[in-house]
Amino acid sequence: MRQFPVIAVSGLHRGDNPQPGSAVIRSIRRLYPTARIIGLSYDPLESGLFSTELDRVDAAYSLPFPGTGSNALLGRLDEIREDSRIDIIVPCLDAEIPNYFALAKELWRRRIKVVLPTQQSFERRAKERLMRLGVDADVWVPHTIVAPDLATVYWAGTQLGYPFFLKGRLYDARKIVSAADVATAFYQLTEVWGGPVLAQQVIYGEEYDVTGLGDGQGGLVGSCSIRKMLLTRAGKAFSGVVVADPVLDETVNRIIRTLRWNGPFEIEFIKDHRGYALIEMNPRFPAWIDFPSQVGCNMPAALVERAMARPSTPVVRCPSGRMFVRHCVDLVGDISELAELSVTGALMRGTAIADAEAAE
Amino acid sequence: MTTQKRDNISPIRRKKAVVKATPVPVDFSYIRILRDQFVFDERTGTFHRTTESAAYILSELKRSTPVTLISAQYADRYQVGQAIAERDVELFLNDLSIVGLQTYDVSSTR
Repeated sequence: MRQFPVIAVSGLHRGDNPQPGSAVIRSIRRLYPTARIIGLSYDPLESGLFSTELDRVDAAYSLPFPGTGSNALLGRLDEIREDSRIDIIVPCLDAEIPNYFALAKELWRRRIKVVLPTQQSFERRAKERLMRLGVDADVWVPHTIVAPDLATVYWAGTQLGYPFFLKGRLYDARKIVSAADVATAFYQLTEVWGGPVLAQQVIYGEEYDVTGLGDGQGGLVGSCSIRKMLLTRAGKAFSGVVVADPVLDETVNRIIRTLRWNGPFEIEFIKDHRGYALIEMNPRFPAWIDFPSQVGCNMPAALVERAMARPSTPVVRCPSGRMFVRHCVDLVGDISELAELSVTGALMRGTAIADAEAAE
Repeated sequence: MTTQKRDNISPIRRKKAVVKATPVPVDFSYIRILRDQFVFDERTGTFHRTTESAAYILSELKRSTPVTLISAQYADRYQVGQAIAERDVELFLNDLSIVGLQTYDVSSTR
């Protein structure tokens, strides 16, 4: 009987700005309860490391920050492979993706599969090129100005009018109400994410989020569209309801068709009286991806099946009106687990506590 | 056959060239009424609380009942005069437009 692949997943923190990793793991285990899943962690306090539920990891390993480069990542993956097989990696953080592009050949040599779009598709949906994508796909994108320096941001304010959004290269955004806000926001964003920043026209309206899995041929394996009902202070969906709007579906189809997107995606829109404005497209699943999995639209499982060239479990359409509300729980861990991952860079679930008790 | 430039069209011909507005097809298939007082728009994902009488009007619109007939049925159901019924129905249709629940040419079903 063919062995189920060992899957490594990153992005395991579910605080007020949750990462998708735990939701991806939960989705995979809904169809494959005995799957062996490894957590790839950047911080020993990532909450998903302490789960014992469906989204638990069987082992966890620390990774160097994405900013240290692809060679550092490859070196660490090779160290991990001395301990544990890895067949598939599901990167869940935007900042990691360029490193995996750089390592495509090396990972292929090591028979590690990473389902990614082409580098060209990835670059075409970058924030600084979104307006061009909008033209190519016939989708409205709010007026966006790429600003490599502070002077350009001030100039952008005169073009866009106040207020406007100032967005970091990868994450984060600030609403700029007046010129007095510009400098602080610029330095805060560039200090963390580097440049350039993007100044974008504000669109007022309802927020919509679409997640899906592209087949690499211009089509979709599955998708789910929601209207965000509750937002966190970071603007993340804390509650959402599935919608069935042919206009939204066709807009997404045009984007995916234009990019011939392969792999997971999240596309964010704001809708006003003019229609849907494309705000951003992320090359990974969102943190709410386990919600559609619970109603039969299991895209992380489909991703794994496609990576292994296995027949896909049918991905059903999410019925409109299904909704989710996020609920946070407290997870119990032990300081020995924190110590284990911090000191050794590796954690085997269950053994750290046992070892600590035996030592006492 | 000769063609005429637009600015050479006589006033009489120009008047005849005005296109009459065509009725906007009504499609309430995306509206779900729950518990007689809760309306969910499947396209936009928005939802609204409403009254039972408003939900009744909406359910009749979903059945493509002409507005004149809705008014008559409404008057009978709620034991109000015809004028009041017509006013209530008209006001509700305006409310639907305001909350974006329909693009509806009222005159098309009169």
